[in-house]
Amino acid sequence: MSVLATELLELELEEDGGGRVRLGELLRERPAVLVWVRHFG
Amino acid sequence: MRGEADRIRELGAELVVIGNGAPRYVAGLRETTGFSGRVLCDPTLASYRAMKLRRSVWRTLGPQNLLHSVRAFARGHRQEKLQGDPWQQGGVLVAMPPNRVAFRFTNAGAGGHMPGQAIVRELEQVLAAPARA
Repeated sequence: MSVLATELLELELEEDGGGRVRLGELLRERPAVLVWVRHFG
Repeated sequence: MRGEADRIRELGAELVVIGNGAPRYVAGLRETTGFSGRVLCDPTLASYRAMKLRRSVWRTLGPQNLLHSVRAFARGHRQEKLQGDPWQQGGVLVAMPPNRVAFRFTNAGAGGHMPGQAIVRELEQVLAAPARA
């Protein structure tokens, strides 16, 4: 397995509820499936 | 999508959807798909670039996508007002803690997304494989 890019791990994105999440924190604890969609609608 | 999201949760993983529209558009996604998990917004496309996901007019409008559009229309899907970058393609990442890439998929173009059942199968295989240092 390769290592995730630091650039990705350090990104902070906004949740629809208003909070912000750092991807590195999100991926630290358990397996995750991230799906990038083309658009929301 | 709901069935796949439930299965991913059963497997002990989190499903995160990342879109490039503003947070106010997420309600529409939740309504359409029934997805209640974490949705993140990336209108700057920074995570798309970090993942090296494709962004191209040709891949969105090219002839290879005409068939996808016709099929979708025939199934009753209608494109509403677009809520995000129309030329940006998507992708999938299965990550293992703390920072490992277990599987990566890049959409080739509009309609070239990875089916949810295939994503679940990849996750099952990753979790079944012996851990490597």
